[in-house]
Amino acid sequence: MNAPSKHSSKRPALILLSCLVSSTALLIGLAGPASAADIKVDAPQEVTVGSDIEVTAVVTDAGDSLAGFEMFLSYVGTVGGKSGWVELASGITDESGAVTFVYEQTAYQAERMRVEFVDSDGTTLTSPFEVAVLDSGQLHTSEAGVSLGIIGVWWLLVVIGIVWTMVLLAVSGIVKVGRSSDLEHGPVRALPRFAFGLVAFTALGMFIVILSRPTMHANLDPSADFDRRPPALVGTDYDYVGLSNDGEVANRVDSSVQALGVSEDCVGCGGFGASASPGLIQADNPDQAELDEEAHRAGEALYVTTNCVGCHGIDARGAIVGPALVSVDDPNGISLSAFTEEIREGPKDMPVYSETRLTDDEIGLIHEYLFGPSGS
Amino acid sequence: MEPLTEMDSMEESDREWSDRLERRVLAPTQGSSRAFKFWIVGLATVMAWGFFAFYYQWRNGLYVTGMRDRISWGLYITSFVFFIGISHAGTLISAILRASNAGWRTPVTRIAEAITSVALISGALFVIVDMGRPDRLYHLFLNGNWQSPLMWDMLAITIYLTASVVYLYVPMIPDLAMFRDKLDGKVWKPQTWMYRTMAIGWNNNPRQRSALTKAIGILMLLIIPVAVSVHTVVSWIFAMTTRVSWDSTIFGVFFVAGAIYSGVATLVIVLAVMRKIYGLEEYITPTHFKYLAYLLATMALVMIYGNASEFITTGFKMTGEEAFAFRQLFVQDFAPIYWFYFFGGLVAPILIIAFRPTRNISGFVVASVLINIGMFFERYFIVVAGLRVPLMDYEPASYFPTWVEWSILACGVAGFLMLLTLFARFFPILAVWEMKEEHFERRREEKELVDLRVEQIQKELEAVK
Repeated sequence: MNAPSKHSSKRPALILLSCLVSSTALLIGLAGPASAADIKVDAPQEVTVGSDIEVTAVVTDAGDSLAGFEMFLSYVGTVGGKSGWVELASGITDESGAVTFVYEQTAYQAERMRVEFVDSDGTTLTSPFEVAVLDSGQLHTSEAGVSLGIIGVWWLLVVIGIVWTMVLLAVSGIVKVGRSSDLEHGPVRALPRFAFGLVAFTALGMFIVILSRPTMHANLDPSADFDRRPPALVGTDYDYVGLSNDGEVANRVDSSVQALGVSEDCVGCGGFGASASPGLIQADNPDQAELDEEAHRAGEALYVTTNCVGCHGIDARGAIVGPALVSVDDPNGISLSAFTEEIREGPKDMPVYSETRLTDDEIGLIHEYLFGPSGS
Repeated sequence: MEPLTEMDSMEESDREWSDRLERRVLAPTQGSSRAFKFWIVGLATVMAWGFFAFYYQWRNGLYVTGMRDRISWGLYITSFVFFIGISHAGTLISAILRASNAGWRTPVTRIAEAITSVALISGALFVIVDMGRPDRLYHLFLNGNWQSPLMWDMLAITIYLTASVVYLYVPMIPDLAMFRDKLDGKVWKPQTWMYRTMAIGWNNNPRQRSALTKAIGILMLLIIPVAVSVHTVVSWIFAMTTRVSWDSTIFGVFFVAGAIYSGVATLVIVLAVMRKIYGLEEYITPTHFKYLAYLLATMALVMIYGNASEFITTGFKMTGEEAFAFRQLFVQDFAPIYWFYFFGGLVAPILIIAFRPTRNISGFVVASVLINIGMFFERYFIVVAGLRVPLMDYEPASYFPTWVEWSILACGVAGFLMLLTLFARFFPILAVWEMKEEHFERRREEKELVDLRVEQIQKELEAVK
C-alpha cells in the first residue's frame, strides 16, 4: 500500500470548501429574489351577510408580475374551541400576477383573513387582512328543505278532526243512552250533556291553538324563508355560571372583571358586533372601546351564561321569546338604572334575577356589553 | 245484540254464579276495613310530603332539584315517560282483545282501563312539575309553536286522556246502573247520588244497548292508533333532536314496545293484589296470568331485539360522540343500571316465565316487579345518560336527584296508588255485564253442543232400531 502524497491530502478540504461556497451562492441566489416578492390585496373592508365577496390579490417581484403561481385565500375558523386557518379558495396568477377569489359571506362576525403565495421553491409569503361584517338584519338563510304540498297544517287538522269526530260520536252515544232512558231521573240527563260539551270545547280549543299558529317545519316549507341562525357562537368557551347543587353561585364574576374562561386566543370574542369594540352598537370613540375590552368580555360571558341569549338572541336583537335589547336607531339603549329595574322585576313574564343570582356589578357589565360603557 | 242478562232463562247454578259475582263486586263499596284506612292515611301522608316538596320547589325554583343547564331533564321526565308507558295496559288488553273478541279478557278489562286513565293523569302531571314556572302553562296554548315536539305531546296526550276516560266510563254504565239499583239506601248518600248520576238512567232497553255498543265499537277502534301515536310522540321529544343516543329512528317503535311491556307488567301486579284483597280468585284465574305472562315474555324478546338492533348498528360505526355514550352506558357511570335493566328487566322475566317451577302467579308478580324496575331504569338512562354526552368541548356534567325530586316522585306513585285504590273502593272493578254476557254465551254454546249430541245419539239409536 502507497502512503498518500501531500498534494492528495489537500483535495478533500478543497472539495468541501468549494461545496460550501457554491451552496451559499445558490441559496443567496434563490432566496434573494423571493424576499423581494410582494402581495397586494384588494378586499372590501365591510361586507354584508349573504353577499358574494371579491378579493383580488396581485403578486409581484421587484415590480415584475409573477404569472402561473398558485395563491390561497384563507380565514380563521373555529370548531369546538379550536381555531386554525381554513382554506376558502385558491387560484393561479394570470399574466399580470393577479388572482380573483370569490366567496359568499355566511357568518355574521368579523373575519380574519389572509392571502398566501407559495413560490416555485416552496417559500410562503402571506398577506393578512380583516373584513368587517355589517349587520344586515338577517343572518344566513338556508333554502334547504323539501316542499311537500300534501304535508302541512291542513293535513294535520284533517287527521285531528277525524279523531275528535270519533270521540264526539262515542260521547254522543252516552247522550243517547241518557235520552233513551225509561226511568224518571231528571238530573242524570245533565251529565251526558256536560260531557259532550266538555269534549267539544276541548276539541274546538285544540283547533284554535293549531290555527292560531299554522306554521309548519322549515324542512317542509323552504320558501317560508326561515331564519336559521345558529343558536350559539362556537369558539368561545364559557364556564358555567349559575347555581350549583349546594345553592351557591358557581364561577361568579367579581367586580374586578376577571376573565370568565374566555380564552385569550379565541377568535370571534367580541364578535357579535362588527368589531371587538364595546357595545353591540359600535362606540364612536375607538380608544374608549379598547379601554373597556375586559369589561366587554366579562359582559359578553355573562350575557351568554346567564342565558339572556336564550330569549334575546345572540346579537341581542330579539328572538321568538324575548324582544330586541339593542337597536341601530337607539345605540345607547336604556339607562343602567332602568335596565337593572327590568332585570330585578322581570317584565312580561321574563324570569326575575335576584341579587343572589346576578349582582348589580354584573348587571352593569351586561349593560356595558350591550350598550357600550355606561353613560356613553 | 242479545239481552245483557238472562235471568229468566237461567238455571239455578247460573243464578248462583251471577249473584255471587255481583256480591263480590259490590263488597268493596259497603265499607272500609281498618287496613284500608291505614293504607289511605299512609298514601295521603306521602302525598302531603310530596306537595310540600312541590311547594318548596315552586317557591325556590328548579335549582332545588339536581337539574342544571347541561342535564336539564331528570327524574321528572323519567317518571313522565314511565307512567305514560304504563297507561298502555288498558289499551292493549282492553281494546285489542275486545277487537279480536278474545273471551278471556272480560275479567281484566276494567282494571286495565282504570290503570290507563290513572297512569295518564299521573304522567301528565310530571310534565307540569318539571316546569320551572307551572303558572305559565297557559302560554303553551297561547303561544305554542307547532314545530316543537312538546306541542305534539300536548296534543296527543289530551286526545288520549279524553278517549281513555270515555273508554273507561262507557262500558261501565250498565255496571253503575247495577250499583245504583243494588246499593240504594245501603251506602253513604252522596255515593248513591253519584251512582244515580253516572248511570245516566240506564235501564237496559234496546235503544240504550244499541247506542252503547256503537260507542264502545268506535272507541275501541280509535284508542289503539291514538295509544300508539302517544308513545311515539313521547319518543319524539327525544328523537327529534340531534343529540347522540337520542337521534334514532327506532325510538318510536322501541317506546311503544317498552310501554306495552311495562303496562302489562303493571297490570299483572295490580290484578294479583286486587285478586287477593277482594277475593276475586274465581274470576281472575291463573290462566289469565299465564296469558299475560306469555305476552310479557314475547315483549321481552322484542325489547332485547330492539336493544341489539339499536346498539349494534350504532356501535359498529361508533361515530362522533357515540364512543362516549357507549362507554358510560356499558362500562362506566350507567353500567349498573343498564345491566340490571338488561338481565333483571329483560332476561330474568323470560327465564321466570319459561321454567315450570316459577311459572305461577307469584313468579309472574316477581317478574313484573323486575320489569317495572328495569323499565324505570331504562327511561332514566335514556333521559339522563343521553343528556350527559357532551356534544361540545366541555366536561360531562353529573346529575343525581335531590330530596325534592325523590319526594315528588314518591307523591306521584302514591297518587297513582291512591286513585286506583279509590277506584276499586267506589266503582265496579270487574266488568260484570260483560262477564255475564260471556258466561251465558259460553253456557248457551255448551248447551247447544249437548243438545246436538243428544239429537245425534237419538238418531243413531233410531237407525239401529
